[in-house]
Amino acid sequence: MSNKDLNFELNLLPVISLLAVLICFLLLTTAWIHMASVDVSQAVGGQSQAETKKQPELWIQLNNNSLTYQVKNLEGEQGNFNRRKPLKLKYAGKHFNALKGKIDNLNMALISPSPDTDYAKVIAMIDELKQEQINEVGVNPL
Amino acid sequence: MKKSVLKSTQMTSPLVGLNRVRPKGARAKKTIMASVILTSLVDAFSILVIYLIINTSTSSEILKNSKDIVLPQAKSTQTLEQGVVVKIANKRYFINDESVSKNQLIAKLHELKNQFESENKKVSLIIQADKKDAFSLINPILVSSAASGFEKIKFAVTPQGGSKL
Repeated sequence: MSNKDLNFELNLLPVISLLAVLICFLLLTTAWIHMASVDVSQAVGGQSQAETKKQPELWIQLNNNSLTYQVKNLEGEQGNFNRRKPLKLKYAGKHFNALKGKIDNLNMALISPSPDTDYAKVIAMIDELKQEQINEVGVNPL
Repeated sequence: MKKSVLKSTQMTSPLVGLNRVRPKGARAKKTIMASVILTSLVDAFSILVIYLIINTSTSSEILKNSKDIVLPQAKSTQTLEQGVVVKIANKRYFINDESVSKNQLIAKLHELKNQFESENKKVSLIIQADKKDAFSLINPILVSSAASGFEKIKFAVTPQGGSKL
């Protein structure tokens, strides 16, 4: 066998055609919008009040433009952190951060939206709380 | 031996081709073979195919993206897991793509919850709604889920950064 016979290359054109078709198919079928979830825990009434461990809870009244909040189950002389004057939604994060700084074991929050509150505002509020490590968030039905 | 396809498409290095165009000393040959190096192209295509296959296999098949629903955005998100999907589209409720009236929500959710529990599966409720929907539309789902015993509720969102309020 001569050297010329050994020197050959694979015909790559069918491979390229196949890959091109595959790329077109995958580009069309791939989901480009990824979805995730924001989790909340709802009370289903399976535990008695005596069994429930008392810990600080942040109760938030939410509407489309503002919110008010109060902190419940505070121990002893921790003070009053309630906010009765409506607070603009864009400042909520700062307030939650300050609350978290003052009340170390604040991990629970309950949001009570008004009927006309946008769903996006409710999600944004849950998101703000989760970012401040207030992870046990619930949404109060109307 | 027959002239095979491989033999007919045999390629030489571009340098050799160059050498043939401008030979030094030796007399120029008659044939000039111009060839495109396809190996790098195949490499690039292969990487693209692998990326797309991985992207396809990891993308969630739990929720179907609907053009009527624009999901809200959130930063602190979790990955979606299998669960009962309740969708609100055009003010109508759908449980796992089956249209359900507001009054039927509790019964249907209860049935699904029992079905999963009989298979010893922990199941959560996934709510898929448009970001502009009022909370009064979401409320019947929350009430029904609590009545049916769903403890974990997952609101479907698109993960993204930036200010949302």
